[in-house]
Amino acid sequence: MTEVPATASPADYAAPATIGEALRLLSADPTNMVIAGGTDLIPATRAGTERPGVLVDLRRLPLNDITVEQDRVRLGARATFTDILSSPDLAREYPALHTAAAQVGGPPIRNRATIGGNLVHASPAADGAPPLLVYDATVVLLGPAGRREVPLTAFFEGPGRTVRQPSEIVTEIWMPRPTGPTVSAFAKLGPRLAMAVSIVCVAVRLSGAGLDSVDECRVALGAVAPTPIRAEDAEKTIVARGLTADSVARASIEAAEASAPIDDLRGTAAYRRRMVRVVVERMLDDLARKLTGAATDG
Amino acid sequence: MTGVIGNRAARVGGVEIVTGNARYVGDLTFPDMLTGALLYPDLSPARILRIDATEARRLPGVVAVLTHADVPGLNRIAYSDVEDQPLLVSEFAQYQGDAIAAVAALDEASARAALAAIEVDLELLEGVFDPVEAMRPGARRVWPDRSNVHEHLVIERGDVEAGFATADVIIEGEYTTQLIEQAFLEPEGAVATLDADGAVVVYASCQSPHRDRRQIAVALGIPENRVRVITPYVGGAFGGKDEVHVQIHAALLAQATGRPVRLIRSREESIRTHVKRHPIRVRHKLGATNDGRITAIQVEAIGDTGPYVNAGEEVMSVLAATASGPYNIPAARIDAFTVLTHNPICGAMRGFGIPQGTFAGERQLDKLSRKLGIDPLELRLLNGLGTGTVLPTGAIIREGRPMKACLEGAADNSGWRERDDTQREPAPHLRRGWGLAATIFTVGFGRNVPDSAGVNLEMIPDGTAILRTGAADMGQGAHTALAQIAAEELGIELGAVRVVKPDTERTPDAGPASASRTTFVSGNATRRAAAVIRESLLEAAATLTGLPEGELHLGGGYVHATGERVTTVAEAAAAAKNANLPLHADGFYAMEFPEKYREGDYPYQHQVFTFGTQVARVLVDIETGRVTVEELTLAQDAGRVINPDGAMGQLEGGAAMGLGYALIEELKVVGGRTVNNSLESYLIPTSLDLPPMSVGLVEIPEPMAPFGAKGIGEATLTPTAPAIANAVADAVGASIDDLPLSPERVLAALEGGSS
Repeated sequence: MTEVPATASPADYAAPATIGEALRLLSADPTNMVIAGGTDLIPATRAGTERPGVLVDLRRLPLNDITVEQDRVRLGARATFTDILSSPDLAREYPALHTAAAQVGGPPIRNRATIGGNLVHASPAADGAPPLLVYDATVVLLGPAGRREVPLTAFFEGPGRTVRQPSEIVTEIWMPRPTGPTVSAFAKLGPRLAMAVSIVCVAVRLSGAGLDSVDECRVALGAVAPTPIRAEDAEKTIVARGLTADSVARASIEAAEASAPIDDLRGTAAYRRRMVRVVVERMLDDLARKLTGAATDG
Repeated sequence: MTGVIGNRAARVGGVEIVTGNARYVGDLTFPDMLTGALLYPDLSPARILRIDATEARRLPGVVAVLTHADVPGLNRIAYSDVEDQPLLVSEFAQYQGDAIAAVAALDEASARAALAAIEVDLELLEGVFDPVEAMRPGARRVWPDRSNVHEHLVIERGDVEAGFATADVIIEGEYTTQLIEQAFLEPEGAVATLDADGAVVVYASCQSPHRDRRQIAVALGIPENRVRVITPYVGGAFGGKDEVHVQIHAALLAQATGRPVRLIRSREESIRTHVKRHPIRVRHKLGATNDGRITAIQVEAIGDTGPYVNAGEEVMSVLAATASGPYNIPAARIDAFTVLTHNPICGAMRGFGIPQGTFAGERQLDKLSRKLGIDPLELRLLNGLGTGTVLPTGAIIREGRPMKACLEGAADNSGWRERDDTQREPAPHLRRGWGLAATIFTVGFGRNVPDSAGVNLEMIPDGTAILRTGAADMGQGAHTALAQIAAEELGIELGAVRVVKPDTERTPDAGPASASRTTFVSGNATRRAAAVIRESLLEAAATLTGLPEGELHLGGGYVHATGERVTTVAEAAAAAKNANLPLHADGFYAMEFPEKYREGDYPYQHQVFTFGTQVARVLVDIETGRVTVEELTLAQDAGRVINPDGAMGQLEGGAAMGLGYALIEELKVVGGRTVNNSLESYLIPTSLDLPPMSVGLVEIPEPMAPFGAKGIGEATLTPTAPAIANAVADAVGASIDDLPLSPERVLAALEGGSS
C-alpha cells in the first residue's frame, strides 16, 4: 500500500544495495534520513515534526542477523523485535531483552520496529534501551570517517538526541556473553497491558555466586529521565552489600533518587519516582531468589 | 416459529467487512473529485478579528475557499431546537473544533497548503472552563447574551423532606466523571456529489441520514427533496456520528465547485471536533432506614456541555429521569443543570447520561451497604423496583421482573454469595475485592419526542425479499436483527433477505440509530410491513393447496400444514403476484405510551426499560495503585434475544468500553483544548486488558416489542464502571468517587484512609 503523507509532500526514497551507497546518500544532504522500520519516522513525517529529504531505506542491507559468537552476541541494527523474540539464544541468555521485545507495541509494530531504530530514535521510554544497558551493550556506527564503537551508556544525549551524526548509520549492537551465574529481568508499567508507552520500565541484571557475592549489578531505568539511564548508586550498593532486605530497600530508594522524571499524560513525576522504587525492589527480590537457584545449578 | 429469531445469525454484511470488500466513505471515488479540508482555530476561545482567504484562493490546485459569508442558507448545525453552532464561524472561535473555513482542492497537499494560507486574526479571550464556577452569579459568560446555565430541569416526586426525616442514616457523596472519546474506528467523513439536475447527493458515515438531509438542505438553502443522503458501511459511531459532522461542509463545497468533494477528518481532527461523553459532577444524598429501605434521594447533576448545547439538554434529561436507578424510592428530587463552557462540546455517546448518574447512584448504595452492614446484593434486592413501581418521572414499571432476575443471575453466575474471604490478600501487596452494580436503561426517545420508523419490504416471487431501511447500521448489528425479523415473518431463511442501506431517496425515514431504539421501533415497523405480505402469501398458498388458510404456517422457505411441507414460499409468492395480491408494503411504527400522561409526570418520561447487573472481581496492587479486573459477570435484560451472537457482542463490547471508562480513559483538557488527540495518547483497552467475562441474558419478553426484544446496545456498558469502583472500594476499604480509577487516585485513596 502506498500512503502519501497527509501533511507533507512525499519524500524521495532510496533503498541502496550497499552500505557505501547508503553512506554517500546520507552525506549528500543533512536532511536525508535513515529509515528502518519507520514506525517512528513515518508518523513523525505525517505530523510534520520530521521533514526528511531523501529517505534512505536500509532494507536491502544485511543488517538484521543475530549472531552468537564465543564471547559476545551481535544484533544487526535492523533486527526487528520479532526477530529478537524468535531467537532462543537471546531468550536464554538475555531474558530482559526478550521480555522487553515482547512488550513493545503489538505484533504489527514488532514486525517492523528495529532495535537500531529504537535506540537512534532515543525516546526516554524506549523499551529496548534498559535491557541493553544492563547487558553492557556497545553501539557500532559507520560513517564517512569510518567505524566507531560507542558504549550504550555514552550513546544517548537527550530526548531524541544521540551521539550519532546525521551521516552515520548504526550497523550493529553487541553485548558480551555472561560468564558466571547471571540472572536478569525486565518489567514495565504502562497505562494498559499492550501497545502503550511505558510510565516506567526497568531492567536489572545480577551476576555472581550468591546473595552475598554479587560481582556485577546493573539497574537501568526508562521513561524517568531525559534518556534511559543506569542507577549506579543502586548498583554499587548491591555489589558492596550483597542482596539483603536492607540493601535491596536501600538500592531501590537510590534508584528512585537517580530518576529525574517529568509530569506527562501518562503519569506525574512523583508517581514515576515512586514506581521506580516499587518496581526495582520487586525485581531485586525476585532476581535474588533466581540468583540463588542459578548459582546452585551452575 | 422457524428458528430465525433467537438463533445465531451471521452478521449481515459481515463477510464483506472482514474480507475488506465493504466500501466505506473513504473508499468512494468519483471523476474530478476534489479533496475537502476544514480550518480549525489555533487559539480558543477567541474573537475573530479578520479572515482573509485571498491568498489561499490564488494558490495552485485550490478550487474553492468558503467562509461564513459563503453559506447560502442557515449557517447553523441545527441538531435540536437550539440552533447555536455555526457551520463556519464568523464572530467567535468558541472551542478548538469550530470550523473557520472550508477548502476544496485538487489534492490533499494543495488543500493543506490552502488552509495554511488563510489569514486569520484571533484575539484570545478569557475562557470559562469550570462548569461549577460558570454557574455562579456574575461569572464570566460563554456567550454575551446567554446565561451559562442553559437549562435547569427538576424532577420531583414524593415528600423528600419527610423521606429524609424518617431516615435513620443519610449518605452524602460527590462524584465526578471524566470527558471521554468514542474512539470509533472510522473517523468522520462524507463525499458530496451533484446529480445531473443539480440535486446534492451526500454519502456520509452517519447515524441519522434523514435528519442530516434536513440539516444539509437548510444550510444550502434548497428544498429537502433536492438532498439525498446515502449511508454506506459505517465503521463505528457510538453516538459520535449522531450529529452531522462534515456532511454539510462537503455539500457546500460540492455546491460551490460543481464537483464531487471528499472530506474526511484525520484522527486528530476527529478527536478535536466531535461531541464527547459529558463530564458530570453529581452530588447525591440518600436516606434509608436501619433495615436498609431507601426513603428519599436528592440528586444534583452538573453537566459540562461545551459552548454549544448539541444534545446536552437531552443527555441531562435522561440522566435525571434515571437518577433513582432501578429502585423503588418513594421520594426524590433531582436537579440537572446543562452548563455552557469553552471546553470540548459534549453530546451523544453510548449510554447518554446514564453511565454518569449510575456511577454516583451505585457508589451511594455501596456506601449505604457498608454503613448498615447489609450485603450489597441484599440491599439491592430489598430496594429493587418491581412491576407497578412508579419512578420519579411518573413512569409506571409495567414489567419489573427482569430487574431482580438480573441481580440474581449475576449473583449466581459470579458466586457472589460464596465470596471467599480467605482470598482477599493473595500476596502482601495485593488486595482482592468484589463489586456489584445494577442499572436501569431507557429505550427510545421518551414521551413528547417524535420517535417513529418506517421500512419498506418487498417479497419477490422467487422467494427472496428486499428490506429497505433508513436505520443506519454502525456495527451494532441493526440490519441483521431487522433482516431476522423480516425472515421470521415471511417464513424464509435469513440469507434470502437483502438489506438496502439507508438512502433517503430509497429507504423510509427510520429516525436516528440511537437511544437503543432501532430493534424496537424499526423492528416493529418491519413486523407490520411483513404482516401485509404474509397475509398475501397465506391467502395465495391456501388457493394453491386447497387447504384452509388457518392451517398454514410459513417457515424456512416452505409453507407447512400439520407439520408437512405443502409448497414453497416462492410458489406462494408467485401465486400471490398472479392473484394481484400485494407483495410489498411499508411498515410504520411510532413509540407507544400505554400509560396516559398525568399531571406532575415528567413530560419526557420513558415507559420501556431494560435492566442489568454486573459483578466485578478485582485485584488491587496497593503499591502501584493498579487495578486488575480478574473477572466480569454480566446479566442483561434483553426482553427477547433476536441474535445471540449480536447480543454477546454488545455485552462484551459494552463491558470493554465500561472498563476503559472505569480505569484508563480520559481526554485531558488544558485551557479548553484536548491534549491527547491520538489513539497513541488516548488509550482504550486492548484485548489483553479485558478479563474473562461470564455473560447471561435474561429473557422476559416486553409485550410492545417485536418478539419481545428490547435494545441493549447502550445498557451493557452502564454497570461496568460502578461495579469495578465498588470492587476496588471493597478490596482496599477506601472510596474513590472520581473516574477514572487511575493508579495515582487509588494510591491517594489508600493514603487518605477508609471512607
